[in-house]
Amino acid sequence: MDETDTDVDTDTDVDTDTDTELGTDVDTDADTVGFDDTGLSSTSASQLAEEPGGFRCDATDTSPGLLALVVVLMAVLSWRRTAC
Amino acid sequence: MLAAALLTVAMATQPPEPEAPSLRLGIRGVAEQWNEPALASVYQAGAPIGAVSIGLPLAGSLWLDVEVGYRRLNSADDEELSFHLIPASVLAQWSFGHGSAQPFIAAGPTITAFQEQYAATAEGLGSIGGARLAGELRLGLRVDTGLVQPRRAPAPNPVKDVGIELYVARRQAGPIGGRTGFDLGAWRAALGLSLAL
Repeated sequence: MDETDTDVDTDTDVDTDTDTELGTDVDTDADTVGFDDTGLSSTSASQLAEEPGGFRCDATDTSPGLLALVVVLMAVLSWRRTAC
Repeated sequence: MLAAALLTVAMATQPPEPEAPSLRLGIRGVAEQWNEPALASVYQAGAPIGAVSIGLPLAGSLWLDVEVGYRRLNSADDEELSFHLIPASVLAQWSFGHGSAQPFIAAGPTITAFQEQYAATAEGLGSIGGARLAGELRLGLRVDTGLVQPRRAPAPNPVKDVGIELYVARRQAGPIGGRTGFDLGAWRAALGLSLAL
């Protein structure tokens, strides 16, 4: 009998976890972005990726690309001007 | 004397060398498979994108290829969620080989703009957007369909050739590491039609 009571307690814990997933998480999403009238959460991709938005310009990844873009455009403009 | 005369006649009857195109316009269907897992979770892991391209000759077989595409994604779970993607590239492209089918390789910088729209928050914000710079390496093949026959002056055909283009490419951004935000690197495959003017 004692063992049976212990199992019941374990089930109760599982229910508590389920409530947490369906309740607390939904409320958190609703406070930020993408909450519809049905009450279901709709997390946006921006939230999932923690997208800061804007034109991210980090020296580590975008500066070489930006430099290459400028060099290519300048080369084309120079060449076209010379050709004309 | 006779040989010189025959050579002159032969040169006169030889068809003129086709004029090199000065511009190439194209439309492409590009299938992209994105790195970003958040896009796969909310929208799709990849999608076909419609794109237009402009090619400008630089020198010899070296061309500049400018491509801009657009795609809108909608969430299957929430109709208020949508994602707009505009990948653009400026690539130096080198064609090699002769004949109607010419392989090419291209490389250069890309910029991919995006905007995600969602239900307005309490602060009134309804979207987030930005752009990512990256690099692209492309391998492809252009096949002249032979649909256009060159015409001599004084009424030369403005369209030099109609070609079918296909390529596979990799768009690669720098490693994100511990930073946050979309990784818009992608595997790309395209099929298109081009007009050389």
